[in-house]
Formats: sequence, C-alpha cells, structure tokens
Amino acid sequence: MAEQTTSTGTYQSPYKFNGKELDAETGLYYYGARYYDPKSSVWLSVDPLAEKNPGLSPYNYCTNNPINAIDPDGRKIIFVVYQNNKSLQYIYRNGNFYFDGKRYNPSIESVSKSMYRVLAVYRKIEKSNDKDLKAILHTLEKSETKHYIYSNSDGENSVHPEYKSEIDPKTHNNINGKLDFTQTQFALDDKDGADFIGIGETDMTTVIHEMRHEFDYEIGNMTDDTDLHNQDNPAEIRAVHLENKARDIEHLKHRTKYGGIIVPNKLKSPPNNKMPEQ
Amino acid sequence: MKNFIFLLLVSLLVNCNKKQNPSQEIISIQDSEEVENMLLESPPNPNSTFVSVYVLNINDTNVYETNFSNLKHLYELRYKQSFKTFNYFLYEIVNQKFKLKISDAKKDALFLKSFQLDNKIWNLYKKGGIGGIINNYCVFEKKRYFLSSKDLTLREQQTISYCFFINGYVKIVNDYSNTNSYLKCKSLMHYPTVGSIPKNK
Repeated sequence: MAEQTTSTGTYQSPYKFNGKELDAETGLYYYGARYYDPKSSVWLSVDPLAEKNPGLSPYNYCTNNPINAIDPDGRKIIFVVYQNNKSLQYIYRNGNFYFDGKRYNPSIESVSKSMYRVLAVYRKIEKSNDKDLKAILHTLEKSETKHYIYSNSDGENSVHPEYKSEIDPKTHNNINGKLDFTQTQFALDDKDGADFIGIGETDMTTVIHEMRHEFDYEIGNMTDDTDLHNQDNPAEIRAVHLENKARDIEHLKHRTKYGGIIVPNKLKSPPNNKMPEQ
Repeated sequence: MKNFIFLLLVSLLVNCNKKQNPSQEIISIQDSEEVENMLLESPPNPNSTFVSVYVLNINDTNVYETNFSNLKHLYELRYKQSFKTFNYFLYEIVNQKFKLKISDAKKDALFLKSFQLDNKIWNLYKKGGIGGIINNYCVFEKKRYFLSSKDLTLREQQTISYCFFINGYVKIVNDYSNTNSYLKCKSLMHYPTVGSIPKNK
C-alpha cells in the first residue's frame, strides 16, 4: 500500500474496519491468518488459538468484545511512542497496533509517523505471498520475548539485544543468559546509503533487513555475527537475503552489496539461514 | 625575545595536551543522576543501550565500549562497595577518573567490548585533535560526521569512535545502510530517539 497524506497531514488508508483491508470482490476483511465477514460478523475459519478459550466459539473475535479486549494472537512486537514525557506502548497483532486494547486507527490518529510506516510494512508482509516473511513476522509477534521498536531522528537503524546475565560456574565470568528483549531503532527518513545507488531503498527493505536481525536474536542465531559491517558477515548476508524478498515484492533490483559485494552463492544460500517452521 | 619563545612553547604544549584530554566533562553529575532514573524506565529507554560509552582500564592498555545499562550491571555486581551511589560511579568511570582493573574487566567481558587503540589514528588525534580525525577520515552531512573511508579496520573505526566520544559526540549506527556517523550532542542524554529526552533537558 502506498503511503498517502492529505494537506492536513492526516493519513488516509484503504483499510476499513479495524484497519484491515476490505476485499472488494468478496466483501471480506483480510486478517492475515483468516477472513472476517462484516455482514454476518463471523470469521470464516477457526481462530488458531481457539483451544485456549474453550468457553468461547472459535469463530469469535476478541472474546466478543472488540472495543475493550485484545486479540491474544500476537503481543510481543511493541512500538514505543514518547509523548509529553510519557512512553506509550503500542502492541502489534494481526496487522494492527493496539494501545490499552484500543486499535490505533491511522486514518484518524496521527500518533507517530514512523509507527504508521512500520505498520504499513507489516501489512504488506501479511498481504504478500511470501511465506518466509510472514513466518518471521508471526514468530516475533507471538514471541515470549519483547521486541521494542522506536523512532530515531538522526540516522540510527539498528537492533540491540539485551540478555539476562549469568555466572559461568567454571570460570565465574559473566556470560549471556536468556535473551531478555530486543530494541530496534528506525530512522526511516534516512535514505541515501552508497549501497543503494541505482537500486533504491524503501521502508519495507529497511524494516525487513532489521527484522532478520530481530528474528536471529529471537532464535539464538547471532553467534556467527562478526561485528564487522562488511560483506563477509554471515548475519548481514542473511539480512540482505531477506531484504531481497522485500525487493521482489516492491519490484526493486536486488541488493548485492553490504559494504563490498557479497559472494553471489552466499547471498543465494546464506550461512545458518534458519527459518521458522511452517 | 627568549621569554617570548619560552611562553610560545609552553602555550603550544598546553594546547596540545588539551586536545588529548578535553577539559570538559564527558558526563555531568546531573546527567549521571538522569541516567540512573532513565535505567528504571519501563519500557527500556533506548538511550540506556544505544549510546556507546567508553571506559578505560587501570593500565590504559585497553578501551572498553559499553553502555549505561551494562555499567549499571557492573556497578551492582562489583562496585557497590566502592561507590555509595551508581550516579557517582558513572560520573567517575565515564569521565575516566576511575579505571577498571584488568582482571575484573576480563571477568566482565560480557558488558565490555574490549579493543586497543590503533597507533596511527591515536597519534593523529594526539597531534591534531578531533579536527585531525575529521579532516582525514570524515565528511560532514546531515548535521553529522560520516566515515568517508570504507577500508578502515574494526580497530581503526573503534579508535575513531573513541576520539569522537571524548569530544562530546554520540555514535550513530545505521546497520541498514552500513554507515557510522558521529553527532555532536549537548550531552550524552541527548541521543536522538524521538521524544525520549528527559524532562529537564
């Protein structure tokens, strides 16, 4: 979906009820995992988490209270918005951000331009036919680990993992324990990197590149990260590989460089390219 | 005439020394107190983890890249007895008045990314100050200094980052576009996450 703004700066969105896209042919709303019929107010398939609420019909939405309740499917991607010295946490689920159980409606609320842009990318992933991108997004969304996202004004696009520390019983040194949370900063207006001359860069390519790092931290797959920002770093090769899936969706040329040119075979089949089970 | 030459030499020496050891504090005591409050925030404030902070060991053989959150872990684990408050520990260690024991730094390597200063870069800095680094390795765009050379080793990059840090700059990492840049900040608490600057700033 292309981002649109009016002269007043309010975002216009083709998404209708609950921010979901209305399929004009069928009259159904697409929710990523299932379809919703607004006329009969029922789902056309069973909620995958229905067994957790045995007292309710598996065709319900938000335990029959869409105003106050939140859909339990997905609650661990959190966009943090700072307003008036307060931090507000918007939780991502099924193609929407929610604050205190209330859906963020980008067509009437201008909370955060960056959050809107990240949301637009997540919706594009949900709408796409790319199973890997969807599976990674859903893994983060349903994770027990919190993945915080922030907006940055001066060029920081990066992911920081925070681990709980443990003492190694043999060496008595501090070692990384379980992943506590990740933090990602997006400066989506900062787009003029040398690697992108002639191939373009978009919100989607940026968000998906960093999403690969979030996912690798989530599954403990960053032990091969060399910390070097170059074409030989396996973690970056995986991120560029996934970014190229976004480029396919956006009809952009593939990225082949990360500093230097990535060895084509490695880019085609990156080292330790673990993916979610589907 | 002899007196004039002597004064000129003294003046040159003093200026040279100033370039190596900035007279201004890297962090103020007020900012140290703000950091302590910031570390209590939930959700975690990104300033506590994204701002690269550099500390030294007692022999000045290594520099350690860390962040406020990790320094808090260090304090709780090892330095609570020596420093009554975290903010005083922070003030002393970030301003490089307190330096770590090498043996402790090894045990706490999880919180401290160790590197040795690159001689060529460090000598350039000692001679020409941060201006020397900027003239040789940086371009100025969008209010920040970007590294212009792509052929720098990790150690060279780390040394440049350290030089910027002791001169009041914050490192900005753009993992996506693969660029490092340095932003001059009023204080370390002015890291540019939208809206996250503390109340009294």
